[in-house]
Amino acid sequence: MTPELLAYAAFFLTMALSFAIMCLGLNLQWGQTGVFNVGVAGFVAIGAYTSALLTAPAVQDRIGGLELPIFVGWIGAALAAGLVSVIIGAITIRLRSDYLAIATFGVAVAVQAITGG
Amino acid sequence: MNAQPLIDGLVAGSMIGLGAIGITLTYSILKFSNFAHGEFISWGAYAALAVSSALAMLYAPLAAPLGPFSFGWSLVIAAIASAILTGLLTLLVDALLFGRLRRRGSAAIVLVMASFGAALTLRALLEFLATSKPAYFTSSLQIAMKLGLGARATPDQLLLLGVAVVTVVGVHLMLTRTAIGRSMRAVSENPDLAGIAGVDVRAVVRVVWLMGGALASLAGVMAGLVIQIRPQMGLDLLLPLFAAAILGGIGSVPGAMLAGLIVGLAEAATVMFIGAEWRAAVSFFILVAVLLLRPQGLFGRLA
Repeated sequence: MTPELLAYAAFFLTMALSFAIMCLGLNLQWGQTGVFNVGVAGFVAIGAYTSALLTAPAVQDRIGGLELPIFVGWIGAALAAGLVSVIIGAITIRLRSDYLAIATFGVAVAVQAITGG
Repeated sequence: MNAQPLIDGLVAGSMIGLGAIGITLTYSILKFSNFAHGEFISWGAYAALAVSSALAMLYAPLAAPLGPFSFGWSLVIAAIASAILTGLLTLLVDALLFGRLRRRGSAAIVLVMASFGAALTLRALLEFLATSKPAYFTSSLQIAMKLGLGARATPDQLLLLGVAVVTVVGVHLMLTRTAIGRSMRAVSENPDLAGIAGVDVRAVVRVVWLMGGALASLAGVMAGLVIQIRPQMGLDLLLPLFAAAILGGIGSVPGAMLAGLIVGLAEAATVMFIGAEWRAAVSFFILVAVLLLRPQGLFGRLA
């Protein structure tokens, strides 16, 4: 095992664990409560952008760049994605299952569009 | 006041409308929202590109531009061939995937998920075959004509509007005036009862797929002609398609077309007055507003 190969494995393990966390969230929504959320990726993106805005170094003419500690970024990301999902959930929770799928797909597309792909 | 967003919105809206007819038919007759429908649009555009390139290579005069338009007979033939090919593709997907699930009596949400998988597969296959580099039917430039009120449109765009209107009227007449149209509406009301009354439900299902595929390929050819051809083009259209199908009322062909035009115009107005980055959010707002305020849409009935 060369160190390069280990680093490569570690990278994939990190990705796999990130996907596992997303699955935990989806399992809670879909598995435990029957809410079929197609837009998980949209909420992942909200978290990623929030954490980046909070912790990235300040750059001229760029929003965010608050240089906060990484833990603040994580908590902030969870709070932001949670807040958005409360709002989306309040609007869409009464929809039929397939309409909910379309609406949450819309959330993912809208998030992608607003963050600029 | 500039009338340009009106033209842009109508052109985009007519493509959305044609795609939304396929979605609304699948939804009302096969009872599931087909997320793979956007991929039929992309496949339709690429099928037409392949056929028209082949024709132009075999016999160059076919590619000579017709009158004021940017394309020749090769694209006209290719569009018809693509409608058939895309229709066959939908039948293939149905035979491999949706038909099996339907026979097993799967819940609608299983079909929805299967359509997600089909969309991913079709899109990845298309990117593999055609690469994600944008392609064009013709490289010739078209000068836009002045229409007054500051609006301009190319002859291609005006032709597409005409073709869209004729197609919608044709599909509407077929659904309301012909035997197969009556069978389709009967199956949409109650498949079991329609089957007992002597309607060949499987034939109806085939016709729904063929029509949806043909209309999707037409929308793809249009989008390819006035914008560009990319493997992602169908995915980008998917949310506007759903917004239009639901706004028009599930099952209503004129509703889907009218709602497609509304979504297209709303997008164009947003680009004009708010900003281009909010264009994709428009469909989402329309979608959620309709689902909350009038879930049966403009012309639909309550389920």
